[in-house]
Amino acid sequence: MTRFELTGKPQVTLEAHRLMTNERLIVDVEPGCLWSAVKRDHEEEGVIFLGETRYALEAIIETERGAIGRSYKGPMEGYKLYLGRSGLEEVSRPVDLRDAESHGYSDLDDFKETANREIDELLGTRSVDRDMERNSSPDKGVLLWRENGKTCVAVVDAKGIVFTRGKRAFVLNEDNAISVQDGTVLIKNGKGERILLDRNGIQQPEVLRDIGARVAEAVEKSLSGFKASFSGRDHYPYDDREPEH
Amino acid sequence: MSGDIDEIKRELEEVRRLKEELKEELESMRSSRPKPSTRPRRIVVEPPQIDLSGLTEGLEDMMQEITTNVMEVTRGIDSWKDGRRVRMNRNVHRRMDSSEIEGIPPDRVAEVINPLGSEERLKILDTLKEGAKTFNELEQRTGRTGSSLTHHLNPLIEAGYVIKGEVRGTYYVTVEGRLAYRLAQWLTSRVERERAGQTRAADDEGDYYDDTF
Repeated sequence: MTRFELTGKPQVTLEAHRLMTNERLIVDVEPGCLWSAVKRDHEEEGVIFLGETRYALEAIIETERGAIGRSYKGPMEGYKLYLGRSGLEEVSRPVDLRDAESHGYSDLDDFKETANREIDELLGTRSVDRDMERNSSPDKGVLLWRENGKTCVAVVDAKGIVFTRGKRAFVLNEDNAISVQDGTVLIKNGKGERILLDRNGIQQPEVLRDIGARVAEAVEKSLSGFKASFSGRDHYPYDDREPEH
Repeated sequence: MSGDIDEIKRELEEVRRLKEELKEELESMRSSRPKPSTRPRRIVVEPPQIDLSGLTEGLEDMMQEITTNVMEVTRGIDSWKDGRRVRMNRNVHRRMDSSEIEGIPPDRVAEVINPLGSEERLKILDTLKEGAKTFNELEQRTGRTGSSLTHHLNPLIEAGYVIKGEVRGTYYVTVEGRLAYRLAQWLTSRVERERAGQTRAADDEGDYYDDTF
């Protein structure tokens, strides 16, 4: 996997900017954030930034028994890596020494070195699909940051949202939803079928009602090639013996 | 010379004898064989022998395991084989007996009941039952506006009966909120039925006394 690395001169934001927006997620970058473009294979693919950033996430799924999940909101500490079109260049100017010092760096190289290290730490062993990064729509992108030592990932596109933080996960698109939060696992499909697992066990397992038939059908399909061996042992078209009973 | 001729004759005789013996033997073999069939000659090909025992045993084990797991998690579900409506598994948790229920202290009851303690709050839950609503929609539906609506929303949020979606500003009723509201409705129906029963009994008693006296 090719490394992401900083490119171009670092910038600082001059005004607030909505980095990501979706029905379920908002990420706002405040003025005074240091940022630098990042590239991979000579192509600019996003930004790494440091400074005041806030987010709100609505990780809630409605069911006929009530809503499950919760909202998350608050400041995003430390470095954030955004892959996609950020639009930050429209509200920024080149960084000067004072900007770097205001974030505790002695010079710009210090900031760059740290930012490069942070990219590797945030990505870890993750690989990011280039198609996801290259899309030009402003509401599409991947954001990685850390919260209480746990890496958070938010992926937003026109179809929906994916959010993970530690063992929590929330996936929502037009048809399906998956929520793993607070000891509850909810899986819901476009047909309205759902499985909910919580401390009380499996709730309303209607979808399991015909699991026997479903499994039988699947097994039958998978074994269809063996039918001759199972059913035709006593009678073959090229054998004129009478079937034995 | 004549001796040689005699020798040849003997050998010829011997060959003739052997020929006769072979002929007899051949006849004997032919007579012992069954008559040839009129049916066309069969070509018997043994079917391919594929040992599927491992596979089928594995499948049986798998099906058994699935069945056991499904039965385990759906224990207590009525009529699932009949395809009728499946009821929620109520046996996952041990049911509390009536003495345990009656032993719940008032402060715990108040914690659950107090947030429901006004018509406005019940209206909010009733409205959210239909789906998530914005603050404006709740204002329209409940007739309460601004801080008055907030005053009733906050206890429901604190009790975990309502949650707010921070992005769209929508309010949702939670599973606990739905349950609490349903139980409040159930309580209402039971109390009303009880009252109605008492009224009927009182009426009947009145009729009795009217008839008697």
